[in-house]
Amino acid sequence: MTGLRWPVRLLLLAIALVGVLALGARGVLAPPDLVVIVVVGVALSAGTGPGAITGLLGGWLIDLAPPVAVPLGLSALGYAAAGWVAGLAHRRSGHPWWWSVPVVAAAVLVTRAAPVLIDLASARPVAWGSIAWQVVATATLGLVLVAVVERLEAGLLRRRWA
Amino acid sequence: MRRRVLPVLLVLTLLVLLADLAGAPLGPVRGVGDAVLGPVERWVAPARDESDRLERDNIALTQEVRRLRDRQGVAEQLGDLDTGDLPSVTARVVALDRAGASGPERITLDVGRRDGVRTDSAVVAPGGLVGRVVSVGEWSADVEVIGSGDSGVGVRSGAKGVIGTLSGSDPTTSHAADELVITQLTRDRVAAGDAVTTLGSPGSRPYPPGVPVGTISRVAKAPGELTDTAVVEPAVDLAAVDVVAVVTGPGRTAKRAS
Repeated sequence: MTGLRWPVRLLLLAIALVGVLALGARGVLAPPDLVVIVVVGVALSAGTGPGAITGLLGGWLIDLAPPVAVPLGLSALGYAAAGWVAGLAHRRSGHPWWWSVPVVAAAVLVTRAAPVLIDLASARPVAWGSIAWQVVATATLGLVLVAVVERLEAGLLRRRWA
Repeated sequence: MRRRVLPVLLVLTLLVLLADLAGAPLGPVRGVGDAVLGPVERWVAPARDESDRLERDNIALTQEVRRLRDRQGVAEQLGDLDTGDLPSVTARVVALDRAGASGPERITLDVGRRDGVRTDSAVVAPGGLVGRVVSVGEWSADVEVIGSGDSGVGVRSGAKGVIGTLSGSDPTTSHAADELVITQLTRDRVAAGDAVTTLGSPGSRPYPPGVPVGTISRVAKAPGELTDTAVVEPAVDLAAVDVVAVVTGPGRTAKRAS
């Protein structure tokens, strides 16, 4: 873990978190999950391990941003799982342009799985509409932003800064 | 070395999760989030403007009217009972919970210990009750909204003031994610359209009496049950809640001597 790769990934996660917080502060109830987009970008570039670590760090940022999550660490594990799942879609020979859409959608669904299961288990109603909207919005944005993250990762490798 | 990072981080996270579920005191960890990311949230939140000032005044006046009406009503019935003045501080919502699948369960306000906010303070929007403060940082406070988790609120419904317990869900009743339910209602005493207000607690903490909570949209009469269950349309739309008042007053626990 030398070089600029991890500082850049952390910076991307921080920028994504600020974006999510800014949208939340303006009353957007189910904002597109920018953190998942960064996690998927890293996972598609570098594979399951780095994807899971980036997901874990991003999940911790989301857990710690006020209102601090209850229970603490659940989002971190969910995002780590999402990073791992997205890393499985990593292809050494590159992937078609639409590849990020299903991967982002699957990653968002993985991050929402634990809260949904908890709510279903405790017989609480689940806001399926807002989850569906979040999946669609994040996957659509991911089409552009995942490619940006992947370019950044590739650029770091090419310049031997990674 | 590299291969061990992920398992170690995962195990640490799992330990924190289990410790939190077991009720371990993780206040310092939560404090880190409040101290580091709280100011970021205040920074990215929209700036206060004239409409905020008007909305703030609106809340203050609504509360004043409610207090005066409450006091008048009580004075008519019992001369020696006084609801007392409840000083409050206005605040803005700067963040909504991102974890709950059934809608926001917690919100963060831009006021904290330095503004006199304490845990178990009631939070009121112009429309009615939002929830109660569950944790306070120096600069921010987390609010558990009514109906979230397993928190129940004592409420009165309808003109007769039938007492019930308000919660976010009931296993025997199906309703939308943004609706609330009242359980333990005496049979055939409430109807759709009845207003729901807080019952109030000793010392007005967490909830002062008479704060609007919502309107009953339908009453479920399950066969074989001794009580009714009512579905409530909340008075406050959490998606649009912006400026709120936090009751900071000490609250009296005993009746004032006349």
